[in-house]
Amino acid sequence: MSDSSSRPGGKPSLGADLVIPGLAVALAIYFFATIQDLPWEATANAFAIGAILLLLVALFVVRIALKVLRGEATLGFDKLMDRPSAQWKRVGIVAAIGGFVALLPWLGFTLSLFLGMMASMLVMGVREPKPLLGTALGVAACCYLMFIALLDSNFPHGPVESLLAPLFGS
Amino acid sequence: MEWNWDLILQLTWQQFGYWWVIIPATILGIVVGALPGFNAQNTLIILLPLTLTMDVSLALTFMIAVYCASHLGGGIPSILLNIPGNGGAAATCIDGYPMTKKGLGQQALVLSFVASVFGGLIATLLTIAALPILAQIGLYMRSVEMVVVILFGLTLIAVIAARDMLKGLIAGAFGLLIGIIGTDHVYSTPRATFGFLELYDGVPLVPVLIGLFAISEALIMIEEEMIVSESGRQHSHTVRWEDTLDGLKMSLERWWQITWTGLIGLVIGIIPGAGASIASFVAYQQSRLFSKTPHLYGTGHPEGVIAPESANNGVTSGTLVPMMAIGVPGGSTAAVMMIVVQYHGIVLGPRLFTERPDLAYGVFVSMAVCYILMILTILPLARYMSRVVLIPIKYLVPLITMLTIVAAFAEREYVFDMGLALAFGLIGYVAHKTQFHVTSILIGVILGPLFEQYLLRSLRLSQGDPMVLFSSTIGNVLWAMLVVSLLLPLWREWQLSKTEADAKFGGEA
Repeated sequence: MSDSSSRPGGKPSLGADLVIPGLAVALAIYFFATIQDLPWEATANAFAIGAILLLLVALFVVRIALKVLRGEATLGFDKLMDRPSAQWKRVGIVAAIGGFVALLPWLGFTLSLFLGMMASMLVMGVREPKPLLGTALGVAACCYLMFIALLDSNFPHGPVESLLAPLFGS
Repeated sequence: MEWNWDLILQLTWQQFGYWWVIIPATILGIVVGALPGFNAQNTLIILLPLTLTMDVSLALTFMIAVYCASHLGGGIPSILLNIPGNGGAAATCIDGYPMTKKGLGQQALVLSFVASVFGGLIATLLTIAALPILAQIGLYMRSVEMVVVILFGLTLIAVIAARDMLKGLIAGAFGLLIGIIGTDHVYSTPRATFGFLELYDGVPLVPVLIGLFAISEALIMIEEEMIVSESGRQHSHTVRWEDTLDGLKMSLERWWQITWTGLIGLVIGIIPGAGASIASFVAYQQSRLFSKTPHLYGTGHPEGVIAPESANNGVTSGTLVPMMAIGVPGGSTAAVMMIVVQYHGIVLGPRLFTERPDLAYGVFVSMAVCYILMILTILPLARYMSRVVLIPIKYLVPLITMLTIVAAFAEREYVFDMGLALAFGLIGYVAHKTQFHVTSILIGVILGPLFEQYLLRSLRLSQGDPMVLFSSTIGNVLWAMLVVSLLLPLWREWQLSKTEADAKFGGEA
């Protein structure tokens, strides 16, 4: 059973290991709250799976607690917090994706994808204007041709799609 | 049931007619297989908007070609750079890289290609021969047995594939719970939908898949500047194409080894969760065990390249067997294929062989044809393959994240699903970092609705008595196997700690 150390030379930090079980328990409790007044046919699965899940998480918590009490591990979050420079990039990429999804209904597919690509590459450290603009433009153009012009999918339309509609008939 | 030769011949012709899909997909598969940290399932996720719009048999052919070729491509950086392209190619490094250092890199590449293609082809032909037997499984699988099969499959994945059994089991149960979010089957009452109308039909699989695998992988990839190290870059610029015929001769002389290690791959591939990584190491170990020259292994021995490469391609057909026969995907790539097939309204599982024999047989015929066409494709292309590892991460991460988020929209055309993919990306990232097995979560999400359907059917038949789950002989055998599979790793760990304690005590005495 592996619980690899995330701090070289130190005790393993196992606090981060509780995030997924914590989410699982929260979902199980929320699930139980939404089904308590329903007939058994609608609740049987959730109670069966939820009970197994809670039992497994309890065993997991006991295992971690024993390690911490014996002084073999800590409850730190090193596994998720290592490499601070990468953390900022990670937050930036998540923000770029979130921004792309948020802007999509307003700016349309092609323009928001172009801006999303630009933002992601800036976050990743691409500063030269040629590759920055060229890659973002290339990806947005290819995706426009594939998803809007060829496949006619229902991505939200914006100024670019309206402008190009007479040309591609989309 | 007998072999339907007419159908198999007809499907073979049809598959050869798809050469225009198979050859580009093979090239793509080799490229992604050679990219460390990238694999068939990521590629298939990025290309979901394409495969979802294709005819189902064409989409399956495309996905199978990418899948088989990626297993072959993984050996290229293992041999040239000592960096496995995927888990299944890790064992190839042991003898492949020493061959390169000896100046036999070209021969090692050819050995790897020939072993992969013939190992995969032999395993696929054997699977086709065994299909009538597999088709009989459906007759014995009713709702009670299916409940146990699903639990057993998830348990095996947790025990074999996850490094920590308890974490694997938690991940699988978490996935199952996510999988049953939505309205219930009888009264259509919403359950755990967080007030989102978009979740009434359940959690959509494509955004889950994209989040757990593609987005989370990209968030981890950020930590590196380049996929390959400085020395790796030097190597990839000096790849030469010589001595191809010599490598071919070395391969053909070892045809029997290719055959039996390919079969090891097939058998291990059938076990859900036991993928190419396990198969290649087992084949390597067995090959050394039965070799007349075991002392040469690890020093750049051709047989040390053949064994893992043949086995990791033998796995490709084995992994699809549980998916086709009982509807439980044997691995993450099989799970992606299952999602695409389900999108087209086809339910995989026991009844597929009687309801859609063209599809059930077609998958394996397609795989055999892919391997045959691959022989013609790989040798001229291999020269350029190692250069793909030179793509900088600063371009790769934005491309992966943006293109996969776009793909999340494809299944239902809801912007909501793109946000859902991002949320699952964050869950996947935490799961990766804390070694909770993401494949277990995904397979849990896929099997959640099926589990609910079978469990509910069993309980309704027994008027709510849960003992019905222990009323069938096959089911009880499966329950026993499930318990054994849970206890065996614990017993082994206990034995190991006891041996260590004895050794320590003995040493102190």
